[in-house]
Amino acid sequence: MRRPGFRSLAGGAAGIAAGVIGGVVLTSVSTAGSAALDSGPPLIDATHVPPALTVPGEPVRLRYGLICSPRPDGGPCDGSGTVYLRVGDAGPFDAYPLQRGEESKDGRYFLDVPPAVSESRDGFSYYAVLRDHATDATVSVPSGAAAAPDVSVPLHDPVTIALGRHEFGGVRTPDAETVHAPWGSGPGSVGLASSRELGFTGPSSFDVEPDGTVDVLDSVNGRIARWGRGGRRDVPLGASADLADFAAEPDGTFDVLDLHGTLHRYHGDGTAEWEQKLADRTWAKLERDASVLEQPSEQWMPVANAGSPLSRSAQKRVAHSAKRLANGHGLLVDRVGPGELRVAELRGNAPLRGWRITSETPLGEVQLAESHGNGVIVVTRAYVDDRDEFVVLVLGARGLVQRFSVASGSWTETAPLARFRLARGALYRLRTTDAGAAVDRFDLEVPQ
Amino acid sequence: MLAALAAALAAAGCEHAAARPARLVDGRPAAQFTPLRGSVIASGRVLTRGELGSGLDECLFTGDRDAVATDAPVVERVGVDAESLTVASRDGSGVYACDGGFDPAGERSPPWCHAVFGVREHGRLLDPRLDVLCRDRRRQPLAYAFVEPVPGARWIGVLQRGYTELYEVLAALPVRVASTSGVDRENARAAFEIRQYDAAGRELVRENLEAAVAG
Amino acid sequence: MRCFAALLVVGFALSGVSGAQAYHRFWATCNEDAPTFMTTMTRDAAQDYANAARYEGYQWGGGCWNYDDADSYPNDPPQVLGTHGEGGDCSGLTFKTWRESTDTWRDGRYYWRALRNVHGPYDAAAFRDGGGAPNHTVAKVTAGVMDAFASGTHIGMIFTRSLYGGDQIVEAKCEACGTNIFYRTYRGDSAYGGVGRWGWTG
Repeated sequence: MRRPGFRSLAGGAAGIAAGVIGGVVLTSVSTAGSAALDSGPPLIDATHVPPALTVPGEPVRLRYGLICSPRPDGGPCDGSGTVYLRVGDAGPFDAYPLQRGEESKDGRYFLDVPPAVSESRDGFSYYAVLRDHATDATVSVPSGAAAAPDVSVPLHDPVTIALGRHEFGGVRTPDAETVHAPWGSGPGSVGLASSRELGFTGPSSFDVEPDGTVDVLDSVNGRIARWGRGGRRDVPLGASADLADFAAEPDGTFDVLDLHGTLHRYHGDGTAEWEQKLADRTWAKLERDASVLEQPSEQWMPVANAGSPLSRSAQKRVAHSAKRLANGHGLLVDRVGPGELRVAELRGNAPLRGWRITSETPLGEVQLAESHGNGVIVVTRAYVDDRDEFVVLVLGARGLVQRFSVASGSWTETAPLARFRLARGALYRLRTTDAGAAVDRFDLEVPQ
Repeated sequence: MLAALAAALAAAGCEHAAARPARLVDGRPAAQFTPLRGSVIASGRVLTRGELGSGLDECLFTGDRDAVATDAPVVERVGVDAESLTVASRDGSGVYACDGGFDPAGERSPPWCHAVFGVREHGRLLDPRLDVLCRDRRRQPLAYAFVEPVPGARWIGVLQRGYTELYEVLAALPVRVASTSGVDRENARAAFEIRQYDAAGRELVRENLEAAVAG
Repeated sequence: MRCFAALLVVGFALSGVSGAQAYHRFWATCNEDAPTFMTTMTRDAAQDYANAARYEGYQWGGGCWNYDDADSYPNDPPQVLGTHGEGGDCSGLTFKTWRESTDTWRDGRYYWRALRNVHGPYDAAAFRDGGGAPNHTVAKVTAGVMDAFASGTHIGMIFTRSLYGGDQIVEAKCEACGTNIFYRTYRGDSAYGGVGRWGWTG
């Protein structure tokens, strides 16, 4: 071993001195925390994707995932469950135990629905209760259990539409840019923020009112930027609203659904009216009338009734699988497999008409599904590894009435299903670039 | 206590500083910046993406390739133990870097081991984007990080064992530096002793950049 | 330099400093326990682990958490290094959930307790590229439970698919967002690639 030279000793002494001085200022190695801290209240949750729309002859397997507190041995939950099943949407439920499988990729617990039920022309309704044997905790899916069960509706004689392979690059130019705002915090602008965690964030949602007023949720600046007949007017909300969803109510109030699952109702001047926590843990979309698409129930849950908030337990009881349409009907949407989309318009739980859309190019999320004229408009996303575009489909009684593509790129992240709105017979899109934010309009053909 | 001190000294291998390297990782002679004794200049040049050929595409994620303009200036650096490419995104939202070296998992062939993207706000990076995935030719841990030059800086220096490796500020991009010392692989962290110099070699900044793998 | 650094550590020891100060905050309660090597790793067990990290906060470069359903240090300034609060960041949460080794050439299953402060060598871009022995790219169209979607700056794991074609993603999203299960449309977004972990046993 070589003897350290003078230079090294001097450097070493300096190191010691610096260490002593630094140690006085800075904490040294922390004292280890107790291992007992990594236990907490028992957790239980479940996952399930309902087979909302089926085609005759298609076997139906209900699959569930059970989530519980992490086990010390790192293994999965020791659990079980029961599905309560009935034909149609009325009457008593019959109990069927869930089987436990070897694989959990699609849900470890499953039930093959008896053909007598799955092939019923009236469809079926059901709910499940799962139990963690380690803690005896239980969870219902959907949250409302028997009061608001899941439904599965058969598509009889749907209109079939084969989209084929999507041709990327032929996106449609908007018919109008209805509003535009540069980035900034002053009047006339819309806020942009950047962080190493999120990249760039900006307006997360918007709405278009029946009179044509365009409302953009200026999330960063904590206000609603409104463009109406008299020009632009801002409504301050008093707090930022990152990644929130938004709806303008017919009575002049505004709803903001924050990323923590609380719905905030504001007066027209931006003062807070009330706020209410959602019943389920995750939300996908906010619609007018304070209706929210929530998970794990995969149902639309009204958060308010006649302007007043509903308790969480009340929300669960009045949840429904189909989205309510203005004409009183319901709209059921089911994205099946990699490239199929099924849509049905219902009266009650009885299908009036349905569409079965297939694509050779994988389909992503359904951004929007609404009634339009005498048909339905759907906006979904076609994607491959390195490209994606939105696909707008206007569906009529006999098939596809209109189809076009819309560019999907966005400078900032929005609420997940808040890129489009249907209003005044036209499709509106929220768009952000390095120059600012805009709302574009695409005129639509109307199914007769 | 004295015995412990001596043991620590020995364990650290405190001895005379290592000699200044004579060559860069690609075999070229290592030039010295005259005002700074013991310095080694990492070569740096600016090419367009087109001039670079497929080099950038071999490194970038497929979905990111369109995010870089074909005429975008790319800074290519070759140092003593490391090499890198740096280029800004087309929309100015950030900067990509391709980090060179050996992949210990054996999944990527040299020269490129990993690619990073750093978000920029008002032209400044929000994070140094530390990368500790790569190994040098001796299979020693290699750490990469971005350094933002201060106004007037012409050279970014990184104190290595026995010499200062200098990176020239080019193309108004943050400088991708590398080091084999100060790397805490277990905790995915690294510490860089950074110096910034003007064109004449006057020291402008002296700092200890501590970075962690994150995001 | 190495000599200086070594003696710096000695100096700390000689100073006899003890006790936690504000700088270390939550990290002062965490540990550096070795992981447990495991022969099994199921997707639903990984769901359990990630689900339990919900509400525990978010920490850039983190980390560790304590299962009390609360972020001990919410609203940390996001651009400040060294806040050392509770929670992981997106890549750190994925690393721990996927039971990975700090050595990129090891593809075994290493169970990290929640209070063990470890991030791992991978950032989101590394996961996206399938970097490291345990990780690989997967086709987004077939990505399933506890696979992940990753961009150059973010990664989130698939908690489950969803009816409208998006996914419920368990992710450490941001300081203000925390760690939670959010509905996301990463699957159809070309900025994101599919990532999987080798070695699921069920």
